[in-house]
Amino acid sequence: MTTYAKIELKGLDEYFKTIKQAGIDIDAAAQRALDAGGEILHSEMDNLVPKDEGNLQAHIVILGPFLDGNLNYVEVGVLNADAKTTIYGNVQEYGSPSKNIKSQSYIRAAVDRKKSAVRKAIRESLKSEGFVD
Amino acid sequence: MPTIFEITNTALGTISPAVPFAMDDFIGSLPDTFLVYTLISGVGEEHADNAETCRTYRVQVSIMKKSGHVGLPDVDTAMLAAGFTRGPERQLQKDSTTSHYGLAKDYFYLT
Repeated sequence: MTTYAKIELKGLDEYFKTIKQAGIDIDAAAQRALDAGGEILHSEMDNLVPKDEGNLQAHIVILGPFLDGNLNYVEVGVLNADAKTTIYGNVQEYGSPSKNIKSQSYIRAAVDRKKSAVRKAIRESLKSEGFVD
Repeated sequence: MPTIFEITNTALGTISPAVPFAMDDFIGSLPDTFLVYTLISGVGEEHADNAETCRTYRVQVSIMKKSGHVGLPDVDTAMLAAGFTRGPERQLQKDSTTSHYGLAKDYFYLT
């Protein structure tokens, strides 16, 4: 039960199809854009995660970018961690009310706080490569 | 204007039949069924003339019940009536010490 956020680039299929037909590699540009967005999320999660020994913080990583069909995405969060860290990460994110452990969200809060910045970074990256106005 | 905590508190207080609830953590001996709510985030969405005009709050309500996830308190109706919209939900790990099952439900409130 990993805890992470996923950033996808979709909804631009028709536009990207036209670009592809022009012989331009949009996937590489899309993945660079997702990298830029992923870095922002990672940085905010790093900032918000509860820090004790730093083990949970050390396990917040970016995986990808990946290409699945025509879907490009990155995953950011507690991924590929050992079971103990994963459970600890979930308890910090969602809390454990019966143990009086309060939620200290670092995944959802990071996404909520940085969603505009992520969108902007993705757009800026694509813009810098001449893909969007 | 009431704070997001007051709005949530009022909403959960309308659940019928009443369910014990608290913010962040439940003090004292734990009932068989209880709720805990926590503010996850409050984010300014729109600004005009250097002033925030719109903000979204995300509130997590955790429903804890010893007999599992059947017959849960109707938190949705109470929260929607108070102006929240439904967000994602996630099952929490069963507490092996207290035997409570848990369900964390997110709600959004736009001011």
